Parts: sequence; structure tokens; C-alpha cells
Amino acid sequence: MPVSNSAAMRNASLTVASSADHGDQLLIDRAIGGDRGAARALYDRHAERVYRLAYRMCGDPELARDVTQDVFVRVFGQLQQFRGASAFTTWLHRVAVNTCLNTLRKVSRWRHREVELDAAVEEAGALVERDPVLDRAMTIAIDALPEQLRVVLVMYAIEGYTHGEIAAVLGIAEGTSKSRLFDARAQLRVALAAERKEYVDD
Amino acid sequence: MTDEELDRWLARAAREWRLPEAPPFDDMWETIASRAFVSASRRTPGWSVVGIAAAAALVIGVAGGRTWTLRHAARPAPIVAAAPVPAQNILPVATTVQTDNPAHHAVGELLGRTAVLLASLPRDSSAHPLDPQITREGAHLLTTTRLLLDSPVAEQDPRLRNLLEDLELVLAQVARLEARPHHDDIQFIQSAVADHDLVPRLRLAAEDLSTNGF
Repeated sequence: MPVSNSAAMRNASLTVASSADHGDQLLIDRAIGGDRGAARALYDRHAERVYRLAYRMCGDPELARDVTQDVFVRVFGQLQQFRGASAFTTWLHRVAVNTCLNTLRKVSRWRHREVELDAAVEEAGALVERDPVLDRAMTIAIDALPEQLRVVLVMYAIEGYTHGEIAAVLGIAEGTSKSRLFDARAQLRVALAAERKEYVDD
Repeated sequence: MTDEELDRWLARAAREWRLPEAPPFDDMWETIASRAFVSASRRTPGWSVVGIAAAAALVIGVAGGRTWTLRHAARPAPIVAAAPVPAQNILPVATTVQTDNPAHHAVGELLGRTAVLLASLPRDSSAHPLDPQITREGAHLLTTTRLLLDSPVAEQDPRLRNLLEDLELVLAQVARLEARPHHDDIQFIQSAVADHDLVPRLRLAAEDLSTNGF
């Protein structure tokens, strides 16, 4: 069963968690005290969204699983240092984005080497075979965006984060998030020009 | 393509693109619990990492000097040992390894300077702005690391290549640090250094350089 999502979640995303922040803080306090059940409850609350973001960014279930696990290992390892200055969710997603980007950099280097060895044709073939036409077009267009633009586009337009949340997670100004989204959309328009008829008519 | 068409395309992407199947969350939890709660008790206290990094930098410096001495016994050996120092001293104390092989020289210098840089990183965000020399040094070492990754020396030694790849990730984070870095960014770097055992691996690599020249 797919993990549910829509950009319409935007108004019900991290900010709704403000009421949940109090609950998070209680769980954090208990987890720091050694309560494994509280740590599990924190994981249950947030793992799905972290996994979904990781999957959207990585496009590979195994990688997304590894990223999600790394994120929570890191977060639980640093829980005592969580200052509560920002919402737990903001901190968690900041770690998630950083972990995703680092993993992608590492994997892209690895994939680059694989492609060099095995020839690019095979990888292109696998991509076409794995994804339906629409998914393929989206994958190519979105993955071709520069990292800074891609992160903002996926978080805002695909995963439904607000610019305020993106700014907090990425440590940038809200205006920067907006301008990156603008640039991402501009580049997408160009990339999708050739695909236009297919998707508009569909 | 108009804005409206793009909006429709993106709305469809949100509904359909890379929509994951639910992963085995329970199995993932087991992995997380086994890594997070077991390793936490073994984790080295943060304050001692500075000392270890200093020791590693010292070893790298000595190893480099020993290598040089063995190969050039007739010449004086200008061993340069590094220690955790203020950021402004990073470049002057960088470890140098004298060998006939330029790639080995570059690796030795990279290991030494990276050890010093890691030891110089702030342990926490503070009221003081970050010394810009740290990010400049991080960017410089990142470039060197990437060049070495694409060189034969990394191709021929998988262990060195793995180390360089892990260093690349940490150095990329360091190079991106802002003037007043966010607490989480500092923690992220420090935990990456700890999680990947970078300091002990730097030391081992330096020992290899000393004994085998890679």
C-alpha cells in the first residue's frame, strides 16, 4: 500500500505538529531517560514522512530505507543535545535532508563509476524499463535540477512543506526558498517543453 | 508551458511520482535500535575526539617524516607534526610527506591537513562567528580529495578510496558552513566524523603511507 501524500497536505504538515511538539518533547525526555518505548513512539510518529521524503529524493527504496535508518540512529544518538529551540520535526527533517544529500552524492559518484565501467546504455535501459512514461519524464526532469533547486522543489511542490518549514529545515531565508522554487519551476518548464503535449493532453 | 500547466504537472507528480510502497517499518526499527542504543554506550565522548585527532595528526606528521627519512637518509628530515590549533594556524602547520611520488605526497598532505582541520572544527555553535579560514581550507581539501578520488592512487587502493569518499562528504559539509553555523550542522559534521571513524582511519592510512607508501 502506497504511503499517502499530497501537496495539499501543506497546511497540515509540520506546523500542525505544533500541538504534537509538546508530545514529542515528552517522548524525547523519556527517551533520553532510557525509555526505549518512547524512542519507538517517536519513530512511529515520524518515520513515514522521513521515509517518503528520502524516497522522493533518492528514488530507490533500499536507499530510502538506509537513509531513514541512518537519520534515526543519528537523531537518537544526539537526542540529549536537542535543545528544543526548534521543533523536533524541523531538526529531524534537517538531519534527513542532509543525510539524503550526502547519500546521493556518494551514490552518484558510485553510479558514475558504474556507468563508466558498464556503459551508459545499460543504465538508460534500466530506467526506461523500471518507470512508466510519466514517471520517467518526471524523474528525468526533476533529477536534472541542481541540488539546491531540487530539494526545494521536492519539499514544496511534491511533499507539501511550506516555505517557512523549508527555510527552517535548510537553514536559509524564506525568500531564498521562494526564489529557488521560482528557478526550479523555470528550469522544469524548459525541460518539460518537449513532453508538454503528452502530459497536458493526458 | 504555462504556469497553470506546470502546476497541474506538479500536482500530478505529487500524487503519482515516486510514491513509495510502505517499507518494513518494524524491521527498520530493529536495525535502528540495534545501532542507536548499542553504539551509544560505546560512543567516544566528544571532548576526547579533539585529543584523538591531535594524536592522529601527530602520527601522520611523524609517519610522513619517517617515510621521508627512510627514503632520503642523507637529507635532514623536516618532520612537521600537527596538533589542534587555532584556525589561523591551519595552513602553516599542515603535515607534509616527502616522497618521490607526487600522488603519495598529495595523499600525505591531505591526510595531515584534514586531521588538523577536523581537530580545529568547533565542537558547538557559539556566539563567535566561524573563522572563514576553516571553510576555505575545507573547500581546498575537498577539491584535492576529489582530484585524488579520480586518480590512479585511489583506484588502486579500495581502502584509501573509501576513506577519501567519506572525507569528501565531511569536507563538503565543512565547506558549506555558514559564518554563524547552525548547531545542527556542527553536530552533523561531528557525528559523521565519529560514525565513519574518520580519525582512526586517517591514522591507519598514515601508517600505511609510512610503511608501504600505499
